[in-house]
Amino acid sequence: MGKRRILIADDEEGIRESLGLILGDDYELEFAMDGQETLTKLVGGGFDLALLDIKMPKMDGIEVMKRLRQQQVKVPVFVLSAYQSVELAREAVNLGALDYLPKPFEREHIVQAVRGALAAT
Amino acid sequence: MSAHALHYYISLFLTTATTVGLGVFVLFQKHKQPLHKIFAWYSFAIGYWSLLQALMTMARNSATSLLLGRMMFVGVMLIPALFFHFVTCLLDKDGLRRWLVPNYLTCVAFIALIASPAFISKTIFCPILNGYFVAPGRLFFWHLLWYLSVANYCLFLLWKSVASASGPRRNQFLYLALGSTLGYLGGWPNYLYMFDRLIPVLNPFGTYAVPLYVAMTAYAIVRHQLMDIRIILRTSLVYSFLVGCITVTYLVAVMIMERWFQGFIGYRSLLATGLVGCLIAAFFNPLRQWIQALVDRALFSATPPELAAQREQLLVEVSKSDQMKAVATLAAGLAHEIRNPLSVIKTFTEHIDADREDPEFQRKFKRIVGGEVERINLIAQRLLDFAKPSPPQLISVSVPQLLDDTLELLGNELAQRHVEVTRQYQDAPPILGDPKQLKQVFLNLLLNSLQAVNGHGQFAIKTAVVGQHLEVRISDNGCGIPKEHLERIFEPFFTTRSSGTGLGLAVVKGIVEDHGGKISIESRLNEGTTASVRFPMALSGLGMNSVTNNTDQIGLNP
Repeated sequence: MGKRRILIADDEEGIRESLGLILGDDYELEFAMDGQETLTKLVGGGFDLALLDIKMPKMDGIEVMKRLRQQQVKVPVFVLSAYQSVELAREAVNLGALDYLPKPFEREHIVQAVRGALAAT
Repeated sequence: MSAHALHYYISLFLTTATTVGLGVFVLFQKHKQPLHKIFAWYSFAIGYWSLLQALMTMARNSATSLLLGRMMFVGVMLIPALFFHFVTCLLDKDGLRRWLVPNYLTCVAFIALIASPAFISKTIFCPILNGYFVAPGRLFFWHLLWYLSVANYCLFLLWKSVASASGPRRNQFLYLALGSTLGYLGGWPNYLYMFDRLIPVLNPFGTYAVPLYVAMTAYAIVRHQLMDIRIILRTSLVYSFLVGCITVTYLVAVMIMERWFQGFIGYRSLLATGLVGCLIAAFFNPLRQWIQALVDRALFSATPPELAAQREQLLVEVSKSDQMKAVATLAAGLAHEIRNPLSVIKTFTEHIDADREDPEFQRKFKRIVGGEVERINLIAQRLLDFAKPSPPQLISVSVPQLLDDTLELLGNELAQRHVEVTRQYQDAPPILGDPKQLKQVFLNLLLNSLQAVNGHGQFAIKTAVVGQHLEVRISDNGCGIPKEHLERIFEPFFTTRSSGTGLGLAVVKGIVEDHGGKISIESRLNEGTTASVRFPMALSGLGMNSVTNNTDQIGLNP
């Protein structure tokens, strides 16, 4: 079985590269820098999981979730955000996100969440 | 003129002067309420009565005296009617409001009776006053009964409120009740002249109790904000009072010294005046200080140096507390901002062992970790700008730059609350200002706007050259400020939020005025608020006009 594919969508290079370091050895990673690019790539298909930042240029994470739902693209999504707002978390989960991963993140938290999500699919 | 008559006239004229003075003062209050008008008319009625009574007795023939006496009674009738109205309003006695009209009607009915001989029959000559006084008719006693009932009932209500109120209200009512009781007790013996009866001491000294009532009411206003009148006694007012006191002292001293010289040396001369002048000059300063300390203790419970120290202390606390508030608001967001780059740095350092030989990792490490460290440094600097108190330093500053910096600090909050910001800056020369303090101004105004929009708002920030000033307008489409709050928002400690300190805008105003600027706030309920701040431009830039407009937007959905 080949490596599982994960899309990491965040406008901050530091966050993308950190996640790359954490997950790069075990998974095949693809990156997106804004909401539009994220949507295009996810609609294109082939991803087992997506880590999605809420605050992104062009289109925010919540909007991406809505569009995915409209277009019936079914891909497991974790939402990443610096805002530990319960409201936003609830909104993302309501829109179908698996869970909400707060930023700044802990390495172990990310690893376990991703492993758990992929084991379930 | 007998001593009795002298005191009779002096006390009446003093009553007129003080009641009219108090009435005018209350009537010209900035934040007028209906209560103030009623109180003013009540005061004028008392002043009118005392003036007309004095004129009536001074009249040299019976007919004039009778006319003036009848005119006087118009004022006398109005006193209980207005006193009742005033007390009803002051104490918020809604249950008593239905008696207002009957009471005024009674007053009008008695006024209509005044011309009748059944009310005032004639004049009598009062030897002790060496003047005429009106004599009562048959119906007069009904008026007396009404007058005493109403006045005593009002006094009863006032004392009842003293007993039931607490805190500042209690003090307000206490001085008013005490003063009113004294005033009525002192005033009523004036009726006795009509019956050719006198009570020693109360006639003629009783009337002095009426100005005493005025003094006590004024004290209740100044010290305890009776009728919610807040007064800051200006130095000039206190000073003119002092000059008055000293002038009186001077005149009395000259009179006494002249008599003394006359008695012992046998001639009046300029020497007496000169000597008194020298004495006054020598004692002027200690006397002035003594009186001023007395006035300050009575009205402000502190002397000027103590007051200055208190004010200084308050200002320090205000500025500290406001900075703390701003810092606290920012701290949550900033902690977040700092922890993000920290987590990136942490992840990279964790991979050093495994990837240090990888040139790609090395390049990324340098670029990304370096960038994140710089980001933390920048955040720390921004935080210091706000937190570190420093003396104001006027330098040439670009207002648009300061606005941008402040917006950047709030970027997190603005995005989280889905606020869209439109910026439109007209090219303008710099102004002289303290960048830290000006940022505090813009931050406080923007924080207020943030509170007002409550999510999904729009801010418009504009700068424009208006005459010789640079105007900054910060508008929001938030909930707006009610008109009654608008005139008070710059008052320290005025707040409508339970968590607010009420100092934000007070501090803003202080800083703006320290920069020679002006601030005004316009607002419409449910439409939004615009704060306009004008700063004088640095001289070199005068006359420069607009060159270009820059418009850009930031927000969640750029």
